[in-house]
Amino acid sequence: MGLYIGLFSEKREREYSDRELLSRYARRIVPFKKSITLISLFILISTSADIIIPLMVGFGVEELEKPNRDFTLVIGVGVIYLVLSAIIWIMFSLRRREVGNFMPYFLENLRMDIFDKLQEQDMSFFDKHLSGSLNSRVSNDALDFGNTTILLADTMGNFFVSILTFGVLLWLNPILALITLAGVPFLFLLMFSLRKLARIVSRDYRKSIGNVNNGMVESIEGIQVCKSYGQEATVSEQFQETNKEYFRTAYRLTAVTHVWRSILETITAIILVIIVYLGGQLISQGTSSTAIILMFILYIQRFFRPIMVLATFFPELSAGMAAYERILDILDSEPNVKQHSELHDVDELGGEIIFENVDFSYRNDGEWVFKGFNLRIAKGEKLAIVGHTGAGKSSLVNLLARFYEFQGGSIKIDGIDIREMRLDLYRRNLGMVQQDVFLFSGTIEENIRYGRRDASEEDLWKAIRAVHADELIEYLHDGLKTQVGERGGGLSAGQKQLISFARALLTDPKILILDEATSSVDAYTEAIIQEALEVLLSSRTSIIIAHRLSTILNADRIIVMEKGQIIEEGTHESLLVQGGKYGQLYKQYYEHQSLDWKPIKLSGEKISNS
Amino acid sequence: MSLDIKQISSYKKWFLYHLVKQKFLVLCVLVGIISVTSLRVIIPIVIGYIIDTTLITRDLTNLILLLAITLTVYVSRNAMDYITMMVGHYLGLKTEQNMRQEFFDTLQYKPLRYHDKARIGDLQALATNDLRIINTMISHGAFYIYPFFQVIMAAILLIVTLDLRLAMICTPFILLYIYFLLQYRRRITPWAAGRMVTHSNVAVVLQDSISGAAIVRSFTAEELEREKFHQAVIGFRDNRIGETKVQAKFYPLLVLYLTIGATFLASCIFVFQDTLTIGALTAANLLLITLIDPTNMIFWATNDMMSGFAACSRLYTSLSLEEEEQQESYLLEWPDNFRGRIEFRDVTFAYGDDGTQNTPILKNFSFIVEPYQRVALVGPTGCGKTTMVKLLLRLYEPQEGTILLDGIDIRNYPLDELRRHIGYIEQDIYLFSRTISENIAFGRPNASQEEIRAMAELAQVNDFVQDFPEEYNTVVGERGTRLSGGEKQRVAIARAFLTDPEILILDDSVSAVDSKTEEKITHAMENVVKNRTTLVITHRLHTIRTSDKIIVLKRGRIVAEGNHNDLLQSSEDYRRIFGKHLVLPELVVRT
Repeated sequence: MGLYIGLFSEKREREYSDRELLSRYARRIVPFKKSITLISLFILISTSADIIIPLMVGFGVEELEKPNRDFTLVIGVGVIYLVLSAIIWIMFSLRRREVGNFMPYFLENLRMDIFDKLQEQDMSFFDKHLSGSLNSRVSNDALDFGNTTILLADTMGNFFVSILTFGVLLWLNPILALITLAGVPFLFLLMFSLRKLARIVSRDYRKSIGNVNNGMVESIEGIQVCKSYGQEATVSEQFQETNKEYFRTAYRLTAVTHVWRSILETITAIILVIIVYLGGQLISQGTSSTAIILMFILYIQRFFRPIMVLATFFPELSAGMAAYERILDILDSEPNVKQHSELHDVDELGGEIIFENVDFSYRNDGEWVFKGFNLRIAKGEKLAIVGHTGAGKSSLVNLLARFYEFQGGSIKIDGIDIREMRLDLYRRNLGMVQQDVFLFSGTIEENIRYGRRDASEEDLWKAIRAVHADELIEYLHDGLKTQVGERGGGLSAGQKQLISFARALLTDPKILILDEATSSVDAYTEAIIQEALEVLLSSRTSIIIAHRLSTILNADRIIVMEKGQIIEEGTHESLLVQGGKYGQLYKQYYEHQSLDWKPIKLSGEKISNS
Repeated sequence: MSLDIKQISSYKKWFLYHLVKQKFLVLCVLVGIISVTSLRVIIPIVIGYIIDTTLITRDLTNLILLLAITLTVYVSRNAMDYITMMVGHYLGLKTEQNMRQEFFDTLQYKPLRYHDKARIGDLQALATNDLRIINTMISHGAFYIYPFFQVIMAAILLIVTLDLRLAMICTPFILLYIYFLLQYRRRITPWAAGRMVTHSNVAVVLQDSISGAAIVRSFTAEELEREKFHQAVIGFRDNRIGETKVQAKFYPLLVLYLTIGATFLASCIFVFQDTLTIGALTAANLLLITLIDPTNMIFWATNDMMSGFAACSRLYTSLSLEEEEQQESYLLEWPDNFRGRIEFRDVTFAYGDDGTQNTPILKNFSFIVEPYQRVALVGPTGCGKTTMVKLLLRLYEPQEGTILLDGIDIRNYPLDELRRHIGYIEQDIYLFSRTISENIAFGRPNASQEEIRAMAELAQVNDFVQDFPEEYNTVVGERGTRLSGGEKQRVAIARAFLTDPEILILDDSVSAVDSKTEEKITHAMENVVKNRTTLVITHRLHTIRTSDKIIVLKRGRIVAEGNHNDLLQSSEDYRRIFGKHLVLPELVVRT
């Protein structure tokens, strides 16, 4: 499929010059130069052997045609042939072995480099890059790029074969050699038109595979709806069309991409027949010999294949380099979050947080989330933040956690700028519980221990009991050993929430940030979470993005945010009395969470109409 | 056309079953392979003949004719090669298409417990990547057969047309060659399988550390993640090293090269003794060279085959994982005078295969809902509320006990009718990426536009649809992403209303709409809910309080039953949930 490489992936803008790409590529393979030299050497030897073999056949036949032939010479030719055959295999084997000594390690280094760079990135990076595409860089692009290295050695070998073969042919008979060469332009013409055709057909193919994917995903995601409405048959029928279309486009594409070999071999056959015909004439004129024509027959079969492979070199190289570019795109991304050069080692922070004139924009495009934002949170304070989506609530905690870099102003904790603290030590003082709880593949215990793997059994259970997760864990069949995450699943949002509380509590952070539970947590779980929160929040500074009335009521202070500004602050009572934005928000989102709320009867008119 | 997997006992049989369905195509491919092989091995013989009869004798009279024959054989070989390849691909693609449709249909009729365990990404990968891999295996299957055919043909030709002595020389090599081919396949198998496992391991570990990026950072667990990833990468590396080691010792090729060399040496001696012609020497040499290409193909074909069978086994496992839902029932028609009395009688249920290993979600669960009652279900997450609803819809089957509707076991109602008469508005609303009106009409594809509009109005869909330029023809985007949570819920409510169900189940269905809209929907609902039995799962206190009956669940049991005031008195659990709210400061604020 080399001929069509690169056709089936999406186009991408070039960001690096060829020279830069190649020089960086060279740097990457320098540690493996011994392997690469050896591989090239093996290829060189085996291709030389491959070229000498027809010559041996020719010499042998010439000798055998003579009336008084020399037995030792004939035997010699035969033995050399045998030895060369063995050499070709030995070189093949050595080459494979050497690739095995180099490629796996090359890939390992490359993947670890990409991974390390990913670890350095802040969250703005992950906003820009989908996890699927990052994953494909580490698994597929790394492989493609690795193969390019072998490609270079291979191409060199093929280049060598075609040049040398042609040289030999010229030496044997210039006219016949030039006639052979006439096949080459046809090959190139063939290749370009086929690539062009394939590009057109592959467009439909890509579209139809996308449709199959979508159809599949939709039917699975919506399976419950489909079943509750008894519509399985309708959905299946709709998919049948998509599936048929995929067959049609895929078959068309295959028909185009597989025709080249047959055409190539037909061109070879035509040239061969012409050469034999002309050769016959030359022999009858006495200007050529059977041996020479025989050698032509043998060489022609080896001549076009390498040229075809050579022709695919550039597409393949550019595909490999495109993969490398995508990798470089990661390797060269500098994290936006940068710590100052002189760093404080922080041990245990007190927890007084001051935002001073903070300016922040996610993409640094002048769309400010904060402009001159100020906020002081006292040590040990429980602060609740409320506001509409997009008011800047999450941005505030994102900045505090150093997930994003801010552009102006400062954030200080206990008087030290957070940019001047060692990031790992600083973050150890922070605890975060997010709205969408993410659990890693593994057991519940591994997840709770995530921030402190060496925690004692006693501490572990203390944390679990404190947040009332023990009830849940004991209820599960495998208890702490229950598998969760990608491979396990099966926990409800509320249960995951409790586990994430335990996880946060075990690290005993000085500052706790809660992006609160979703509204889908039921009343009972909420009651438990509420009890858990009381434990969790005591004796530390906490910032809570509030979705629940109960948390708001228990906070020391509520701030109401809108468009990156604090527009109101105070306690629940004082804010309600004030009757401003908070009053409205309360009515809209929180009021019905209280027991007193009753829907007001509308006049019956509208309803009876419908 | 979904699959009756019970009749097929292994993935290999499943694969064969699909192949046999295309037996005509399979036959064509076999015929193609034989003809291509025959044409391919004839060419050297013809060339040898040309050398002997024209080039060496310098008698050109027959040259043109012979060359014309050569070219014809060449061209027909290439044409046959292409045709065989295309028939092979047709076979592969057709099988892929059939398997995919079968997979799709089977999934549709799998019970929900199947879907709970399956991950969408996995199923999607099965339906696209894995099926493509199987297609490749079938399409390239010919490559696997070629060398065997060809080596046999070559041996026959050597004996028949060339020289018996050469054939004798080749025989031990040929046997060795076949032995090594089979050996190679056996030895590479574990490594090829390992490659797939280690490759996906790298992806899984990486995916975790990317999805959990924020958590990794906030717990400063970068080192831990690095270690996990490194282990996965090392696993991949070591497997690859092992694989190349086997590949490096690809003995079939060694045997082949030695055969070619030895035969050439012997031919030279025979020609020297004048017992062999130069043409025959050339023919034998070219004949054996034609084996190199197919032998190399084995290399790739083995890979294709390994991954192909692995994919077959994954698909087969997925297909055979749960039986299809039982469709049989005793009542053939839905009763006209259906009233909607629900009774659970001693129901015990656990998720999982046979229900014995997992903790039961519901234990000896019994209750009755009278016709037209509105009942609220309250309890902690995982206490079995949603499970109970799913049992009622027969999305799952209880291990013990019975569920009755109007006194008749639900298993006696036709399954599709049962589900159509129970309207269920689920917790996570799922909308299809079609237009709003198509989504509303999902349960009744033949509903008129007027009916759709009327229901939309009732569910307050009309409010926000006005804002879209294409109104009801607005496509809601993937999973309904163009709509907010509250808007999706309203569309789902309209969808349920349209089917005019006798029993309505609301699973936290208005959690995401603001209080004003909820008010409106609540009132609209009051009208709709009239003359229907309604089950409500909610944490909205006012809904709970105004229900006819409240059922409090805990750990799969009913711990209390009654109305709000009763329960505040009698149930400690109920107080634990709602007691807190009672001691809140009474705030009456007028703005």
